[in-house]
Amino acid sequence: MSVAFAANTMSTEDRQEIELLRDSAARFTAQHSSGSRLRSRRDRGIEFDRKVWQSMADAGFLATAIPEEFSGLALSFDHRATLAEEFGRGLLPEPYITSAIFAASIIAASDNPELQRRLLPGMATGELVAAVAWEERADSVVGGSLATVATKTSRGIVLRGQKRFIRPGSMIDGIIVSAAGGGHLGLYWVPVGTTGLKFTTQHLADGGTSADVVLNDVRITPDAIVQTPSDGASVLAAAIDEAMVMAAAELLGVLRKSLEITLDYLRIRQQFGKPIGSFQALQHRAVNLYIQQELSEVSIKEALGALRTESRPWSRSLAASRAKARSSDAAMLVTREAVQMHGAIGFTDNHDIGLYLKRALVQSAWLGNAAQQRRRYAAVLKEQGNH
Amino acid sequence: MRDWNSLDEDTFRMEIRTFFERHYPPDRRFPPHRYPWSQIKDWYQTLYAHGMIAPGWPTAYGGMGLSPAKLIIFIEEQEQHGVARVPDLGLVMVGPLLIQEGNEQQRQEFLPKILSGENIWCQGYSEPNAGSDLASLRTSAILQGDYFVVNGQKIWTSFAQDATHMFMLVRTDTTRRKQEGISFLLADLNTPGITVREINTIAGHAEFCEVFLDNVRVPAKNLVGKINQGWNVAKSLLGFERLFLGGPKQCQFAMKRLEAIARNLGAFNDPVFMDRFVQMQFDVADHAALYTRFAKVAGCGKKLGPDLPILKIWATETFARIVDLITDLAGSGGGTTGAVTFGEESIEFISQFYAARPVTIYGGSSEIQRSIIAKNVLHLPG
Repeated sequence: MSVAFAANTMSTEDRQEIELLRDSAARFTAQHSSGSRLRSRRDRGIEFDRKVWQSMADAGFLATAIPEEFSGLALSFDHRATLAEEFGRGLLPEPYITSAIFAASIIAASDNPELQRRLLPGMATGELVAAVAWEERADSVVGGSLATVATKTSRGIVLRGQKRFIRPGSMIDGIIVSAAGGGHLGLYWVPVGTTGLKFTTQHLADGGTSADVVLNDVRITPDAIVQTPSDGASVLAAAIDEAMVMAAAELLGVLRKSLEITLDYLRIRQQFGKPIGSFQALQHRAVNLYIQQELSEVSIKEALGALRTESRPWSRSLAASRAKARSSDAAMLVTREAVQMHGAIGFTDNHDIGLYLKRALVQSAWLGNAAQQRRRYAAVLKEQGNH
Repeated sequence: MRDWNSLDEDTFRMEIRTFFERHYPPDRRFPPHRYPWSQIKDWYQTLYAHGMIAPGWPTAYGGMGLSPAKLIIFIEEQEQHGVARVPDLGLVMVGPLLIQEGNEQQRQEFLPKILSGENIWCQGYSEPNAGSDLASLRTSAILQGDYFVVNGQKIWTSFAQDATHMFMLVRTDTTRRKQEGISFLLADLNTPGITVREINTIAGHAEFCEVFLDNVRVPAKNLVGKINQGWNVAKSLLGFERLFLGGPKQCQFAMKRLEAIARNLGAFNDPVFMDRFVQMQFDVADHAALYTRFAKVAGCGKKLGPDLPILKIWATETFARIVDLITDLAGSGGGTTGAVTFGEESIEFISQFYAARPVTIYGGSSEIQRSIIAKNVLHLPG
């Protein structure tokens, strides 16, 4: 139990800075995100708004995972998660976690400085939007073999295979592809438009998109190697763990706001001559939601602590899976109950509460839902010989 | 008198740990239920002899005078080692209350005997018709000269059969709003007119009693605080000991048991079990993280927030779910009293199952706790 007083060692300055960042992110989403914007985005089928993306870049939000030497801010995991949570609260549709965190952190860890110089400054300024193409099945997060293959030829590298569930699935400039070569996992930068890439895009419940891609003998030059095969697996795994924690933080923002809206409704909606929030059946269910919110918060805090201080990769994975599982389940529970407690109005497209349900559905599925996280956690335990 | 607070936290933790390792009877670690006085008296006296029986009391009254942070460490180490709970109502309730709200005469009369174990206290709050709705209690106390004459009945009084004294809430005014007519009294259980009767639990132990009060004359000097102020006096007792109603050890210990049983039965190869097991690990780990958050607040000497009851709700309900899983693992042996033999091992299941029942009831049932949070934290209308 000595963890009780040892684990969290963030300085007061860090905390103050994080609260300032939270305020600025909250102001940003208040200005740039709304239910009507989300509905129109969905109706027009547009992944995100370039102008808002540009404003995010101007505010520094896209540079948090990018090292200073490449025009980035290199902010801490806690800073990044604070932004994720606030963007979740505001249902901001721009691809902050998928591109500015997940893809950026892989490039930031690259052992190819030439490629970093080509990509990272543009990612920080918002000119270049990248996505990670690593999943091949709906349960890739749990493990399994890699079918996409990278073959070395005299004229470069040839990629062959299929990738699925790429996010964002449109308005991207390039993808980071994982592929097996020489018995290892390598990571490769493939610009959209490269010959042999064939994308299929699907719409997501929250109005975003997800893409599958076929790589039919895609030829790339050696300067597009993001990570030499020997370290590719560990770089990708670390980035997945981090992105999971960020997705958990976003889900926490989603469920917090959703619960706030619902509690407001319980206080004012009158039936049988009194506010429905006075009924014990609803009160106790609301408390259950609150408990899940608090558990998500502390679980994410511990996962951030693990990202910050834990050097053993498997231990980081355990903490990340735990946080993602808790907040995925919690966000689904809270947003489903939120719709239920609103009654019929909650099922209408007019009411914003449904937008939270849809975001929770999409983000809890991304990088592994709660059941998959439990399987992943069990697999890591087994690998460590614990069971 | 040692100045414990001058030690740094790690040194203090190690000293306390070493003390328990050296002095606590090894055969009594992690008891499945609470021990009666006869089986725990020796440990109480060991603690007393080492000046460690009252870690939270000020040194001026014979306590260790621990700071909140050190007190939390003390209790954590106690739980970590599986030290049985001694009859501690005198130590955690009456003592701190008299130090805070009592008068000097009461302190001199009662505190030394609490430390030595000469007096053992029980709590007379609940009544047959005043459980969750405690404020509607009806045991009456009428002041006649230098005595209160008390009539009524208390129930669910834990270990009253071992106790020498009882602190109780009594009605001293029936004309006011129900919380405003209650007083806080101290009574010697040897006083004529008091009858204690044991109640057997479904687990087969007599852990609590009913106490009948028939024209019992309690000295007026045993009134704590002012007359009709008993409700506030009782509430002032709800200090940070409440933190440990929701402590992490019970769940963590149950998890260790679950793990041992599962390994023994080969259950880790069963994906259905594995899924439930990992969920339990998450529930327990997230609870420990939540506990840490509250313990940090208390450790700084700050007041605990109104959301504290979520800790007890989650601890006790998680414990019950772990026990359900343990019971499921027992399979056909699940209803057996005593140990069930699997291969070379004998495993006892049912005491855990019983242990999970009262935890969601005492100290404010899960339902009452939820209603409190709905009101005080979520600000839902009454």
